[in-house]
Amino acid sequence: MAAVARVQAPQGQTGDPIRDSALGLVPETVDPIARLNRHAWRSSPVRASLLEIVRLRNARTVNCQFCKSVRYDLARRDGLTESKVDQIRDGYEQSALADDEKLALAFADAYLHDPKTISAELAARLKQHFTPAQLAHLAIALIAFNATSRCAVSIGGMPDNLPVMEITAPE
Amino acid sequence: MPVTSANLIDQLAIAGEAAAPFEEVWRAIWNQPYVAAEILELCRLNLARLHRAEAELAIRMPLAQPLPEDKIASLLRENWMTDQRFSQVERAVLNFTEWYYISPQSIPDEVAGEVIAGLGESGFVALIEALGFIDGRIRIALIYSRIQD
Repeated sequence: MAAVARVQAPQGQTGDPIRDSALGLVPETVDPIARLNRHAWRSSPVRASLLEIVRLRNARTVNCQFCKSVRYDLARRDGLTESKVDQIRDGYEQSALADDEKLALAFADAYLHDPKTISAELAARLKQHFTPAQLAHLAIALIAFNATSRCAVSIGGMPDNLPVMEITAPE
Repeated sequence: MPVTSANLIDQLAIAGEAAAPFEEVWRAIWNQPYVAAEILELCRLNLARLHRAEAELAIRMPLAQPLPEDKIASLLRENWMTDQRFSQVERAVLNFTEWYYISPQSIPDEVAGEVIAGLGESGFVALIEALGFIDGRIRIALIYSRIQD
């Protein structure tokens, strides 16, 4: 990963982490992306802790230090603990995570690795467990989490480690 | 109808309130002024090739001006590095796209530097945003194709 950021964030801070990042260099897209992030959290038919588990699986796979260090307040209020976060690792199938959490992680892994080879069995389980609205929201959120974390890694300049920090889901 | 990045919203509109901003992002990345939609269309087709996404390869993005089919054929035969129909910027962007597909962590500084030299800093950011959402939509389209079966 690039040790020094390849581009610099624009001057001026708005308080919004997306607008204040280098994504602010493209004003035509930054507002839609910020709105999408807000709706991913505030308009979700999926519980916040499940969304956060998917987001953190993506963060660890992409190796985005910023994304890995963040915990959304909504997810913690929904019961996401650090003990649970520790189980979002390879071998989660044998962990104490709930069945729907393991299924959401399998969905994220199919997306993150080779989506063309998702098994018919996993596709059937996803359709059986989640409503069409929940599955569609998970898909939209995963695309948004993945695209923005890959932006951060592509820009570079992240520290090797960051402490865990809670942030408020955008209003 | 096969699911692709272009018609994915037909599957995802049921998500509710997140669907509208999701589509708004899609239009914005194709219409921003820093990277031509025709360059993004080359990237989309190259990502579709890497994903072996046949339905995606069969479509042409309505949000971009049509590309010459012989140029697309050259891209899909992986001749873009030597084919003179590809500009220096297009080659830099396609090279970056292939590194991005493997892993954004792996992108060498010189590969990113060629993109920044050709497109500027805003163009670089617009490109990585576009790659993220194009690649993501191809991935989910492949999954939904299986879910539909």
